[in-house]
Amino acid sequence: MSLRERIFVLILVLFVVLHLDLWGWGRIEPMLFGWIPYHIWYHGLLTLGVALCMIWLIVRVWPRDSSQF
Amino acid sequence: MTESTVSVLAVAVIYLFVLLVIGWWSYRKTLPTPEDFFMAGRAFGPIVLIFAVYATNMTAFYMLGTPGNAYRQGIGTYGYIAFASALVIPAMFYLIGYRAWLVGKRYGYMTPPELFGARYESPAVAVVLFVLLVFYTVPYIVTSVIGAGLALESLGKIPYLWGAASVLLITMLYTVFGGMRGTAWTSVFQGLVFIIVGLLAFVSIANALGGFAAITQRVYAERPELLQRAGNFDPKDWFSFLFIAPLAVIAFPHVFMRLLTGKSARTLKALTVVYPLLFLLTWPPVIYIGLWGSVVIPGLDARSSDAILPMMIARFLPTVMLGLGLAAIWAAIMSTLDAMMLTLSTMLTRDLLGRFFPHFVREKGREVVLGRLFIILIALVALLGALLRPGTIYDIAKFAFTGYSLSVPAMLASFYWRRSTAWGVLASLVIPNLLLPFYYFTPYLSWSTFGFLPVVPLMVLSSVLLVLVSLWTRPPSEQAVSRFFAIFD
Repeated sequence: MSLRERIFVLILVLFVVLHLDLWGWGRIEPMLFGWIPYHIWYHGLLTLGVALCMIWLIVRVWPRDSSQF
Repeated sequence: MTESTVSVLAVAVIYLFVLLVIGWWSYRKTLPTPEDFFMAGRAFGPIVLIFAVYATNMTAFYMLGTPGNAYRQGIGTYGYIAFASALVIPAMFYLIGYRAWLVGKRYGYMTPPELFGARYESPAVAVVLFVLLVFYTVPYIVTSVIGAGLALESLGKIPYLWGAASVLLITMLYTVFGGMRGTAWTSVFQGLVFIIVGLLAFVSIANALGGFAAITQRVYAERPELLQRAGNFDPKDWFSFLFIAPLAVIAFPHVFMRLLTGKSARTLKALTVVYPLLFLLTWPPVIYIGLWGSVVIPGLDARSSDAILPMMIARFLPTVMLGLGLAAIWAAIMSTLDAMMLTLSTMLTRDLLGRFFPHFVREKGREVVLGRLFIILIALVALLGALLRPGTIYDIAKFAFTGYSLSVPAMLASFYWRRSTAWGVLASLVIPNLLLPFYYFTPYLSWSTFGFLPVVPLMVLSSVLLVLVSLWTRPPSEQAVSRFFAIFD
């Protein structure tokens, strides 16, 4: 496993910690636009963060010459 | 016949007809070779692969179980299932899927038993993996067929068996004729159907209830506990769940096989980036519909609340939406069912008959013929299961996800740890899977969970056994290891 792959795994662990989110377990407010409670916008932002992490993965970690097969 | 029954039947007929047309078109395009029938020539581009994998991953649970869960446990359903999946599944596409795709492309492997058996030069690894995957997949197929029958019964008031049999027949036809190409292209259509209908139902139901803010504020006033997680979810359960549904997906043979059909690494890269965004687009709508249902149709028990989505459609939308609702539920079910039937037939053809009667299978193009016959046989078994509806099928399906997840440590070791051995893999697969029913059906081992779900101690056991037994047994030959690792390095 390369160094960048190890960093990728560490980022995944960080997302798991953020996903556990014990500090916001009973939280509802702020309610965005009157219908998006804390849990949805927080985990929605985390989902976007995961998508950005995957972009970093394919640009910086994924082997470049992998289309040779 | 009521207006709603006519509407449901009309949409169902059109929907099933489109699937048959796609199946026929795929049949015309498919060559009678194993590589083309089972793997569509490994030539899928990003759009087809994204839909093929995502639609395969979405089952009846997405359309029925998820809104039902939101009805009972609230908004936390998003993080519990959707975010956990959006995080773990794409990561596994890279960590396991990409390397499997590389060796699959190089050596022509199609199924997990074939690939991992070759990695360790061990027929035992291949056979054990085959047995486990078949054991967990057959009940999953039967429950899908039962779900299809129940959906037609609840939405169109049409007998259960008609729905189960018609879904099974159409799925069998386009899978028999179209092979992998047929199942993947129908997944594109089915994925579009359930995504568009889900979004349409979301916006239309919100409008019918006075707007997004008005109905959500009503939930806030009447059931505020559903807008947060305290009391609805246990943190240890929340953590454990990461190892069940999300981690199991890469071990689903029907998902694993589809990953091998990508044309290039770019295809897999696109899938990896788009996957989390698809969860963000498609899960909040069905979760909100279930949440709103808790105040507009209150008091449903656990079983009835799984039908909250069709109930909300029936209560607040025009009757034509009932038909579209059924099409969406069927789309989610059939896109998984076809993939499982094809995968099972591939494994039965290649990993069972191909292993014990290789000459017979490979002569005169019999492999494709046998694959098609197995699909018909699997459909008959599924129909029998749907007729009998035995309780044990549900019980097995219930712990199947944990069973699938338990093969992930072995898969990771195969691609990242040269020193791992066939004995280590066998120990990590066999012992935890033998203990699994004791966790689910007896109280004897509950002490060892420490409040987590059984998957956590079993995953630890699987990993420890893998490492210890591998270190105690003779390392695999350098030639066997290099055959795989030379491609990765």
